[in-house]
Amino acid sequence: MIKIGIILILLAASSFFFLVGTIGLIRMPDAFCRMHATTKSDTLGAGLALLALVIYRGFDVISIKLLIILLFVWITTPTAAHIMAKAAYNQKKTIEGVDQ
Amino acid sequence: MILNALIIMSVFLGILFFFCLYRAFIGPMAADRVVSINIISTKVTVMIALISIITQQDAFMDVALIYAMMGFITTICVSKYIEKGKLF
Amino acid sequence: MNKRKKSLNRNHILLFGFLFGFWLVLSPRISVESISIGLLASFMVTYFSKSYITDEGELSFFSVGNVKNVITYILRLLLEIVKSNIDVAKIVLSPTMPISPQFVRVPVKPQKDFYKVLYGNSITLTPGTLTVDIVDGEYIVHALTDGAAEDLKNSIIEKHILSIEGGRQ
Repeated sequence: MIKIGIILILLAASSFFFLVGTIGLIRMPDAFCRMHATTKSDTLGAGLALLALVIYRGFDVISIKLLIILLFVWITTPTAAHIMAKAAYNQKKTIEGVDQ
Repeated sequence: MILNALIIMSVFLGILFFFCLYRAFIGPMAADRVVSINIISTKVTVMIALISIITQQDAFMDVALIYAMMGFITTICVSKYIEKGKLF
Repeated sequence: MNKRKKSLNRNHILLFGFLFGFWLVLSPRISVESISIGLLASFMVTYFSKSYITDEGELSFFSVGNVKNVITYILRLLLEIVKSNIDVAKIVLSPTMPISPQFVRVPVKPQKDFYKVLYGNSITLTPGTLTVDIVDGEYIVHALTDGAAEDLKNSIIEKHILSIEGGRQ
């Protein structure tokens, strides 16, 4: 019973953070601000959802694969945000240099 | 009980895809489109893991793992193409 | 002879063990064939990528005295991630969106490349900041609010990373 409650709370929190990330993607005024919203919300949302699945499955080979996916997402999301921000920064600098 | 919650969350993620696609459609710069494609790939990874638990097909978990890697490589390649105009 | 002895260090063995463990997790059943093919594939990947692997002095958190520093760093990072999510949710859901985007420059304190990457990713996960690039020994950081830019001057995460890099404190 406690297990079901914990899983439901984790799934609800994960859905809330995904929703916040999407609203931020729609509402924010700039590409960098959109990256702020999506990076942080996606990291915690994916982490909580996969953690709920690990608790539901118990200790298993599938749980180890889920933990590998979780670790991979947590490492690669900030790296991808860094690469996208660098590309947007250099592109913006190039466009402003052409204008002057 | 839990299975219904998992199905509801999968449908909810499926609804959220369309809002991300809306941003990819109207995004004024190329960087906005890359951001929305990246967030869609993360959501698809979580959704494949959910579907693998719902249908009890353990082989789908490998698909989720490979999809996470492919989304990361896609983001890197498109960002490099935007930045330099070529891939290497 | 000397070069050959130098070209195999502890990081090659770590990479080999990591690849073989990953193979064992992915293989559907454990048999003689799968273990032998996995050993061969891991050895070949390690052999062909031996010039891309970093030097031995690059990673220093495997020593015994550093375990406490690494664990406190990970717990602190989890706390910061939860805090930054609540922060972003407050900003996004408020009707007026109180943001003032700006670029700030932060000096790079860590010496080795691995810790520079680790600190850059930690900056991205802490509240209201996003690492953009490293230019001339300075991080270019995009801050969402004024308070986030102020917090970046003396952050606690940086002290944790410096204490991990410096070994035992």
